[in-house]
Amino acid sequence: MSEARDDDASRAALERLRRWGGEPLVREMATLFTESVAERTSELRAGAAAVDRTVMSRAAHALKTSCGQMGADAAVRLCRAIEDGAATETDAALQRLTVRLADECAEFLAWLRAELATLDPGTRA
Amino acid sequence: MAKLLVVEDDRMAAELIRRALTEEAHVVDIATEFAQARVLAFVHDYDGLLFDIQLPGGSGLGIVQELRREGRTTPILLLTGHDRPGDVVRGLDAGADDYLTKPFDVDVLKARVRALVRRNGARTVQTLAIGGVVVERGSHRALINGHKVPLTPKELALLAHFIEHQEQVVTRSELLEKVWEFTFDPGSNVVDVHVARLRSKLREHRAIPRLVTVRGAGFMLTLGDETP
Repeated sequence: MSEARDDDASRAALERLRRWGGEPLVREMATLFTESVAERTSELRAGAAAVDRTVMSRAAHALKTSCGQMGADAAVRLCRAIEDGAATETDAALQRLTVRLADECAEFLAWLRAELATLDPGTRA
Repeated sequence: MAKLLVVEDDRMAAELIRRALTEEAHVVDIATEFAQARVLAFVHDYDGLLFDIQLPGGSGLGIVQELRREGRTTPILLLTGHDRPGDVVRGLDAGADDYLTKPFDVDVLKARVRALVRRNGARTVQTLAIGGVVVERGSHRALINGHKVPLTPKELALLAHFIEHQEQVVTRSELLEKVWEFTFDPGSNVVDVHVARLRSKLREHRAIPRLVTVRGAGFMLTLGDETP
């Protein structure tokens, strides 16, 4: 299921970074964000596979911070759902949320790469 | 110009915070998990602590409570999600001084940290001076005999440290820890190079205090004529 994304909020987040540190900072943060997404979604999948709710909650919490800073609001909502739901949701529900979050992050990264290309053709996150 | 500990397990947020605070000429240590944060918070004498509450390995709140129980008054700024009002209440009740919600605006972060460091005013003097050499922390500038002197942020931090410890021998390892962000000796002459540059600028602007090398010990900023 696709999440409702707010591209304007995401562009505003990138613009705040650009105003502060220029395109080099945007690119650097995009790289860190990309690495963070890969690391945390991997932890989430591992946590889901092992039914380790502590790992899932912690990974979702950390990823929520990165997503929030980049304006990835739909991903933030899913991170929050996993973080909050770690104590209450069923295993199946948490696994579904993990899949949705991974998909949403992949979509956001694709959007981010496209945005970076418009900032500076040839740039890739 | 304060020495700060940032405890944040998200690398991107930690890097943004580090950049913002370094721009303000602060020295920043980063901890990414509970045990590391606890050790750094207790071993070093920080001017301010910025804490994410939820950390790998434990809760930042536990460290805040422990610090306060030990009588540590270091100002503490909590970093929390805006969706976590309960964390804010628990954090402030545990002894934190302020909080900042994530995602944060860089200018707001800088202002909150300036306010945090000001609360430590008894320990952090805003204007430092010796013999016509003045460092104004707020405006990040140095004056020699009333004239503004262009210094790099590192030179400014170095000069501030020397003025704070005027007429005392300051060791290289102390400078590495307090001015650079090293808790180990990198095995380079980075301190000597910066001290030499600073000394050269002091001489160039006819500063009265002298930055002397104390053989086998370190450096001293002194108004005296004799080399110790």
